[in-house]
Amino acid sequence: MESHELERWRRVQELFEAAADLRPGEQAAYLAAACGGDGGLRQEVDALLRSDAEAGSFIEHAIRRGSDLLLAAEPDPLEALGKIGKYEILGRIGEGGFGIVYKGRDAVLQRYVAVKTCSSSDEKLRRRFFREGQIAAGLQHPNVTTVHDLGVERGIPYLVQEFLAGEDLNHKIARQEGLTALRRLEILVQVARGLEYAHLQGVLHRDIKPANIRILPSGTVKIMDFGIAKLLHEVSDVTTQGVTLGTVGYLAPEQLRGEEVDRRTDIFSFGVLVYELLTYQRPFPGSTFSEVSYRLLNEEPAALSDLAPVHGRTIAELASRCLAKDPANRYDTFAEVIAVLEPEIAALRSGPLPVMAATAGSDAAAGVVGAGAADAAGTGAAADHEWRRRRLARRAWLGAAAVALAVSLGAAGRAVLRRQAPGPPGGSPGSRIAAAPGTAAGRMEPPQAAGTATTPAAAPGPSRGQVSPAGAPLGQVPPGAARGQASAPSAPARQDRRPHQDVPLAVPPLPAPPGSRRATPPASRPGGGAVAGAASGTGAEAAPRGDAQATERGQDVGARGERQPGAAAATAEGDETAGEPAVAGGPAEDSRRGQSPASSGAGAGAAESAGEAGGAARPMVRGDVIPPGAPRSTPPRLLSRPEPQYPDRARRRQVESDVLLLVLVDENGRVVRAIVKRTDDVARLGFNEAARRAAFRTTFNPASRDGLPGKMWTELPFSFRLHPGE
Amino acid sequence: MKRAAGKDVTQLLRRWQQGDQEATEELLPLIYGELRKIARRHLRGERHGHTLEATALVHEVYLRLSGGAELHWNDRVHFYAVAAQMMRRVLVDHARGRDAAKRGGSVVKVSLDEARDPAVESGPDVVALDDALKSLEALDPRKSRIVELRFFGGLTLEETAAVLGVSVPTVVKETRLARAWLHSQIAASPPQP
Repeated sequence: MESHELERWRRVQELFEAAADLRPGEQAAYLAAACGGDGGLRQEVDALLRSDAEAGSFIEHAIRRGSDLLLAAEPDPLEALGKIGKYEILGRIGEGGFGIVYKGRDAVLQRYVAVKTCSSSDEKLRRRFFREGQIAAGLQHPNVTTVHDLGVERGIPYLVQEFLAGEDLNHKIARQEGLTALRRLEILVQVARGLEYAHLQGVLHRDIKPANIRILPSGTVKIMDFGIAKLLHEVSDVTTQGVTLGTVGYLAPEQLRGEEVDRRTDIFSFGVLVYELLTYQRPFPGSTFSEVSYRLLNEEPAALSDLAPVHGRTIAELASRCLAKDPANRYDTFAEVIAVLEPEIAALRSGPLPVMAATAGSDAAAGVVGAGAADAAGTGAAADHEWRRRRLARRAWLGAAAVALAVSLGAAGRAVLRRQAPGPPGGSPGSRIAAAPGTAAGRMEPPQAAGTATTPAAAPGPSRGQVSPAGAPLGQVPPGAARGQASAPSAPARQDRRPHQDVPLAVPPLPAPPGSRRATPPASRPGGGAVAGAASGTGAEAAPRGDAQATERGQDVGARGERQPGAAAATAEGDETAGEPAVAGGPAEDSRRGQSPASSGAGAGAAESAGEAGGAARPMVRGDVIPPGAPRSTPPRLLSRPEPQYPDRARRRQVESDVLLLVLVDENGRVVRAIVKRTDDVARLGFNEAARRAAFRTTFNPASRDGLPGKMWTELPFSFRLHPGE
Repeated sequence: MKRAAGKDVTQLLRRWQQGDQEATEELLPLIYGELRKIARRHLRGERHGHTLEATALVHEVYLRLSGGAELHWNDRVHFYAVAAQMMRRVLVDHARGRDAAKRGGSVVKVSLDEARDPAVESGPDVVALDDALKSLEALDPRKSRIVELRFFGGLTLEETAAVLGVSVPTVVKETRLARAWLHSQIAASPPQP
């Protein structure tokens, strides 16, 4: 560049910098004086000053448009062909983690198919996809999606499966579809049968979750994506909330820790499915990865017998045994699971008609609400509201206790908590109402049925599809109507809603009953104020649902008000406030908290819990857990990472490995938790442990939000490489 | 379980730490490849509504490529500096290729995502920015580099200052000028239809 050009550029900069921070009037005067007669110079500086005011974030926007283009516009190489193998491509069904799923048509056999491709650029992954496809193709069972074909087109492997109509279970759960208790168990037993079959063939699913369960219009259940679904997580490096949050809640603890998996891993995931389908709630809820995984590893879910009492103790225990943290405490095989489910189903088919809304009332047997026939429906709604309120309080209390104990005592704290739980379920109220009218009659509950592998006494067809007392066909009853019908005919009919509860069961005691954090029986619930006081400072688990609960509650109260105007309605409102647990998080909850006496006692744990829940309701406090991708936040950045110690056994065998950890970086930049997210260490040679040890010596610039340092989960990879001569 | 590529990267990073300039040159294609790979993987339905910022991409490449190697702050910053250059290249190459495809008459699908944010939807694109940056580089290389580091690489003010061996106030001052200059440059030459 010519020296006079440089000189001019230097001059432009000087003038710009001098003028940039002047007021417009001063600017003009200054430039007029400084530029003298050089109109070109003046023009150039003026243009820069104008641009300075207008430029805004145009650079960031241009770059973001560029990256959006890069991410959005790459076409799928197979789609353009219009054909994959002999299958005509009709359109996309969806996008998977490593490829696209098409609806296809087999022109020869005249049938529709689903074609799943693996267009990943990762050669190793493509090979594994093919291999998993081969394994899946060997499975033939009514409850497992059939694989028709497997091929490679332009280097891209594809899997051809039967095309399934119907709906995935996660959609039903999201809609809180009003399924009968029987229908729910029928879905579950079919899943269990499919898994039992696969396990007998030596195939694990490893990713059982509602999104992988398809319910056909006929009612048949199909498990999808054996082997394939799991691959997805192994290749997925991204800790976006969408990916992990949707999945992490179904992983078994040993999977989360990167340990060996076996068929009991599927049993755990099945347990999560049981819990979710019966309660429409996640056993390990949370709005962040860390929250969910913490609960999953450390906490017992709220007792299913409280949330879905219609299913009784047998099913509650089935769920909690499936959900045992230690695989040794779970069922060994799905045959055992089926042996529990089938008698329950048989009993429901031949017995009375328990209809289960999304949340069934638990109070009938507990004697809290005396239901008159006239306002049975209203009471049902109110009761529903009542138990939900209680459950919130209880969960909040348990949460508070767990936090306090876990913090101070660690594992010992949890043990204490377990011991403090009320005694065996047999002692719970109502359990001795064995001969309640309409429940014992016709029920088959042979003592040996539960927990053993005896063949169930399958109920004959006639009672199936029969019509409920009010005339609505089973299985198509909307939740609201169902509730009313179940309780309408007469008082004893209310017992029908929880027949299992009332029959003495012969269930062998569990080695370490995970469900033993069974909550305080409703009747013995302390007064509202006491509950609220104990609850304060936690309840983060309820936060993500805050809105929905507030809405439902509003409806319930409204319904009650209509039927019991005046004083009764006022009581309902008063009740509402007094018993309101202090729930951190959700905006609706927060707005109520101000009026609630409970709010005054918010304990020290509140800040932490709210942070865990990612609650946006209050300003960031130093040390909060910041959800990844939160607005105005920056992730932790790696400062130094020590070389991990190479495991001796691995060195002797000349094995290398990669381990990807998820670490929680605290507000000081220290790693305080480390979970194995992905590992090559299939032979368990010690890489995982070595990586975790190194992780705790790694330092970061802490994450921040609104300029304040906080905790955040991030990924931390470790590669173990042998050096020449080693 | 041996991995030639991973080993190469570790060794390259070691050589790089020892001041081997060639190692940087060898790293470039690796970084470029990683960026493309990550972008493709994100394409496969893993985005879930999150826009992947260029800076997040660079961070991810860093984590992947540096796995196992203990890098000092300085080396890490230089890694980001190299990656920023690559990021720019990946984005611009892609956008130019897309334009070429358009001119060639082939159909280009436009994702709805592109229309998500009105502020992002309009305004100069990354190709125009790249052209203007090249002009700026001819006039004032350091300012061009500052833009690359800060906006394509996500380096902080301090990191940018360290890479270029200047003070933080200088970076602040020059960023502002560079931004204004680029803007005026693009405004003066409207994009070709």
